[in-house]
Amino acid sequence: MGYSVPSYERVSTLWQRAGRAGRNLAIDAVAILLTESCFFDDEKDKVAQKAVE
Amino acid sequence: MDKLVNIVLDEAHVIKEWGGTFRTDYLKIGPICYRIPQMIPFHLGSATVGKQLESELVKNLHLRVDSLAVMRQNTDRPNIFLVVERMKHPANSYEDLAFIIKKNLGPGNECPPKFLVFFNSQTEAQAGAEFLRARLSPKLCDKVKWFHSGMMDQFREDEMHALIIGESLGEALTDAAGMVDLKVLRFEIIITKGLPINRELISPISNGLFSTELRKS
Repeated sequence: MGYSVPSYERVSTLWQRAGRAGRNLAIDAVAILLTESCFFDDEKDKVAQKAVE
Repeated sequence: MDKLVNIVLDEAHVIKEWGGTFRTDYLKIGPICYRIPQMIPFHLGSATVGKQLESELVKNLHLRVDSLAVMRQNTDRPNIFLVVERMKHPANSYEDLAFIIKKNLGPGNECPPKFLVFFNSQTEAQAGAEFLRARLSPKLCDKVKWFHSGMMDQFREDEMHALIIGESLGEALTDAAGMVDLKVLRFEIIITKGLPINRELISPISNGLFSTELRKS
């Protein structure tokens, strides 16, 4: 999370959850967001493509 | 009243989300503002209250702008690495969490890094914990806990909660339970399952992500 986010509201929940990791700055931590395929651009494009066809 | 120095609402980002139904006492803050001297400062503390949310809170809680200060922490956390993973199983399955715990993990095996898994409901948090427990050998099967706001009375004491988690491999929880201050503990993996998210958000995050080796279980 090596950058600040311009609009906090949209990512507040994710940032708050991820921020529970690595409270000790000497320790590297990993925050994984498991999200459904339908939110990824390529899947959305596929759906859009099908709609066109 | 004359001993009142200021009023602080910590973790102010939850007020909007919880004020309506879950923690309705938040809505009583507005009337308080009219009963205290005008010079008493009001502080909102949160890493994630932006300008938009600030103005909503000012409006809904009738806060006085001239005596309001928002304390924002820097959200830049260089030691946290964000990864976006595509779920391979249906959203109502927990199979995508299987990588956290090696099948039949027993007392003689190396423990996984301490983890937290966030869920969007209490039911899911419990079911997720039960899924992970089923992967452990019988001797360790209670080493994954679940925690949500419905259990707050049971774990009212933060220290009690910390003690329980300290002895566990990890925990499945909801946002409300995550409010308990767990900074004494070292969590190395935080997993968020099924957070509604849009492409505008994923794109900037995925620019900075890297493939993780954690999945080699």
